[in-house]
Amino acid sequence: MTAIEYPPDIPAVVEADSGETELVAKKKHSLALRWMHWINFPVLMIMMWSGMRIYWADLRDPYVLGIFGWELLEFWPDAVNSYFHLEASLAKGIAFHLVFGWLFVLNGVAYTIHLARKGRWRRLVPDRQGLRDVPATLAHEIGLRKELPPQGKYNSMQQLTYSFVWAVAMLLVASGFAIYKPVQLSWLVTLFGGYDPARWVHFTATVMLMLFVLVHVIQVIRSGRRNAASIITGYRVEKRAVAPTGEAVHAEEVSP
Amino acid sequence: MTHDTLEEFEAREERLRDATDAGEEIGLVDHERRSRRAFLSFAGLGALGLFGFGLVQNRPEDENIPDVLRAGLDRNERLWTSIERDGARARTFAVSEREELRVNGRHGLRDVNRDMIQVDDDEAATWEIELTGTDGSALDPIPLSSIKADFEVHDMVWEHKCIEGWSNIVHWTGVRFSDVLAAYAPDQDTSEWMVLRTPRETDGGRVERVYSSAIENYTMLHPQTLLAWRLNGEELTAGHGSPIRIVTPLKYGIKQLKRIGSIEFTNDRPTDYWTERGYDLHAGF
Repeated sequence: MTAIEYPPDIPAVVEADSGETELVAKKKHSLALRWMHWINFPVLMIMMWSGMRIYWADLRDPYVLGIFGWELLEFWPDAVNSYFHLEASLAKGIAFHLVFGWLFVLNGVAYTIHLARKGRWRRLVPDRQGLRDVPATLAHEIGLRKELPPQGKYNSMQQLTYSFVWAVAMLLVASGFAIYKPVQLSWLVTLFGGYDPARWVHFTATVMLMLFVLVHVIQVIRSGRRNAASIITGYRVEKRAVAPTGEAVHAEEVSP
Repeated sequence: MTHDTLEEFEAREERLRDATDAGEEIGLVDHERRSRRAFLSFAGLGALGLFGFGLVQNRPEDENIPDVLRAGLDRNERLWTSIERDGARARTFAVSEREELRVNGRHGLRDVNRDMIQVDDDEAATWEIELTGTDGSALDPIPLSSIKADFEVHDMVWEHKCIEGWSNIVHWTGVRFSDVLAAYAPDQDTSEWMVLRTPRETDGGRVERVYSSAIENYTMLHPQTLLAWRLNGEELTAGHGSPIRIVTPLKYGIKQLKRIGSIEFTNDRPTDYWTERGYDLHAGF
C-alpha cells in the first residue's frame, strides 16, 4: 500500500502561525453524550466488580485466551486473588450483576439511539479513507509522524476503537442474556454456538473492554487537561491563528 | 491507489465537517462559567452515585442481600415470567455426548461428623417421599418402588449448569415429576411452590443439616423435570443424591435437590437453603 497524499493546498494541520493566536472554546460533546458517558462509568465498574465475584466462584479458571493451544492469558490468574485476599462472594455478585445490568442495557440502548439519530454514527464508523488513514494516525500517536490526517470529530484510530467498543458492549449484553436465560432465550445461545461458547464470549468481551478502559485512560491523560475536560464541560479549548486582518484562518488543536 | 480524486476528497471534507458538532463557539469567559457548572453537576452526579452505591450496600438485608437487590431479583423473575415461555424446552444432546459430573454440593447428605451417609438397598427399598399439602396436612407418601415401577421411564441428556459457572452434559434416567404428582396428589398440582427437602434422619444416622430447594409450579410440572435415579447410566451414588433426586434443565444445580425426603406444597413465597444465604429464589433459565 502506497502512502496517502492529500492535495497540497489543503494541509492536514496548519502549522502554527507565527502571528497572533487566540483561544476559543468549541463545542465537542453534547450534554446527552456526557451524561451517558458518566453514567456508564460507575455502572461498568459495578458490573466488572460483581462479574469478578461470579467468575471467582469457580476457581478452576476454565476460560483461557489462547490461540492454537498456545496460552496467551489465563482469564484471571489465581495469584491475583490470593495476593489481594479477594474472596469469592457469589450470591452478592449475582444480585448486583443481575440488577445493575439493566442500567448498562438501558444506557447502551440510549447511546445506540443517540448514534442512530441525525447520522451521528458517521462520526464513529470510519469510512474507507478513514480506514486507510489508520496507519498514519497510529504513526502519529507513537511519534513517528508529525501531522494527523484530516478528521471529523474523532481521528481514525478513535473511530476504530470506539466502533469496536460499541460492538464489544453489544456482544457483552447479548452473551450475558444468553448465559442468564439459556432456555427462554435459547435462540440466542444457538447464535453463540452453545452455552459454553456464550460464556467464553462474555469473558473475552470483558477482557477487551478492560483493555479498552486502560488504553482510553492512558490516551486521555496524554491528550491533556483541556481536551479531557471536554467530556465534562462539553467544550474543547483550541488555539486559533489570527490573520493580520483579525480574521481567523484556521483552527489548530492545542493537544492531539 | 494513491489518493481519491479531488471531487471525492472535497466531498469527504464536507462530510467530516458535518460529522463534527459544526463548531458552536463560545467565548472563554462564557466557557469558564459553563465549565464550572458542568464540573459541579458531574461531581454531584459522582457523589450521588457513590452515595447510592453505599446506600444499596448498607440497606437492611433480606435473606443475606440488600433488600433492594432482593426486590430486583424478584422483579426480574416477574418480568421473565410475563414473557411467553410455555413449551420452551432446554436443548438436549445425544447420549454419546455425555460427560462426567463432579460431586459438588454435599449439604443434607452428611451426618453430624460430616461423613457421607450411604443409603443401602434395604433402605432404598422402603424409601418414601413424604408429602405435605397446601393446607399443611400430611398426604399419602410416594414410595420409591412405585416411582421406579409405575411410570414411563425417560432418558434425557442436557447441560447441567452450576451457578458457580461450570456446566457438563449429563444423562439422567427417571420419571416425570408431573406424572407422579398426577397419580399421588393431583389436587396439589395448582400449588404455586413446591419445597423439596432432604430427610432429617436416615438409617445411616441423623443428618448434619437439612438441605432444601423451593421450585415454582411451572418448572416442577415441566416435561423435562424428572425424579431421577440414574446418572450417566449408573445408579446414583450417595454424592449425587441416592436413592432419588430431582433434576431439571430449567434451574441451576443448587435447585436440583439430591436425596429427596419430603415435598411441601405451598402458595406462600417460600425460602430455601441457598435463598436464605443470599441467592436468587428462582435461579432459573
